[in-house]
Amino acid sequence: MTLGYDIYELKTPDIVFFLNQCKKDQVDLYQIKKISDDRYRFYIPIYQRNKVKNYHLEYIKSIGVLYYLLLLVNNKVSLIGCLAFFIAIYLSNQYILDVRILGNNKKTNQEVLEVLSEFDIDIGDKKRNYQQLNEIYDSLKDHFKQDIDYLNIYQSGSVLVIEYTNSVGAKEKTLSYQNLYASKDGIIERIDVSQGNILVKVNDFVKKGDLLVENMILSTSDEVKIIPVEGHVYAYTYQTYTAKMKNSKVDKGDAFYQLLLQIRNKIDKIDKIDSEKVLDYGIIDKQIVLKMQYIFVEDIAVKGETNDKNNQIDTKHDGTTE
Amino acid sequence: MYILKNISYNVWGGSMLVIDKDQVNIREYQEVLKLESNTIMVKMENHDITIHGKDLHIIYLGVEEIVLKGIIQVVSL
Repeated sequence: MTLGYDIYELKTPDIVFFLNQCKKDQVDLYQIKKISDDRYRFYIPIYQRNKVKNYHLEYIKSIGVLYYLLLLVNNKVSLIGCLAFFIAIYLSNQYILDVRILGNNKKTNQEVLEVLSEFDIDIGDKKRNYQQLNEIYDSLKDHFKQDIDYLNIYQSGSVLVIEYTNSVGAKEKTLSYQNLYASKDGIIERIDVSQGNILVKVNDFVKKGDLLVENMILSTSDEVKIIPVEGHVYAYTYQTYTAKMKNSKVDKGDAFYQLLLQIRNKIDKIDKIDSEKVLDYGIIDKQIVLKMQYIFVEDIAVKGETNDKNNQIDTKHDGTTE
Repeated sequence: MYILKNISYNVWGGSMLVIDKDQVNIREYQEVLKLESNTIMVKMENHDITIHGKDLHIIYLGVEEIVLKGIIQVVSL
């Protein structure tokens, strides 16, 4: 298959002589066409260019892939560019240009890098063969025996890829069979329980120690079954805070904000403040006193050992309450 | 080498002539004797082949093979 042709024209009264000359010189001619009385146009393969050098043919143009390749090679700058391109392709295929660790634990990622550095693997190092990759794989597997469930190491182009799955995420969750009780008085705002027998509903008023989620259910055959309990019960809870300061010559507005900040500093552990209300602000016994009422939305469910609600509750209230 | 479709061929004393619709393939030719738009004459080893037709032209000319194209009317030996 010829990839490129030169197109020539020849003005001759005796084309037969030219044709036989070509046969003698082993030159292939294609598409010989008479374009005028004694003028012919034809194609000659580019690689036979040298053979027809002395024929005094009129060169018209060249076509084909080979012609464009020759154009590239004939130009010095293009040639250098081509060579640089192929060298770059070759070199980039020989060296590691990136190390990619696909895992979900930053600490493990760091440790993997440390193990790799023991094998002198870094960006710019030579790519490893399968045997070397196997050695690295074995070493990583030994090193992370307890921490990694799945490990894969491979080279994709110039990138060394290490994939792993941390075994921490796969650990079994311990089931809890303890009931959930109300740790304080409140009105149920929402119930987020995945397991257990829910005994309250939204907008119910519950008192401290009330059973919220039970670990027992009655089966259809009237058997009592113990089931795991898991979840949160959120409720509106009410709490009053008081803050005091000496009645010095402080501006009343400033004093209010100082006392308000004092109170707010005490309630940082509460899930969410639903509303904040000033109950009282004034001077009592030469002291400026601010009394605030807060409504919180918080998880009031606490775990208890048995179903006896009176034995279970250990509640904590933040701040100074009255 | 040109490969012709729907080949029908005959052999004369070691030379081969293949005619396919508007193309004629002559192998092991010796020399081109005449080239005109309505006549092409080719010298073979033992005889000459003359092809008459219209708009005849050579689409390939190699050392051992020549392929002609055009409206072929008569092929004579």
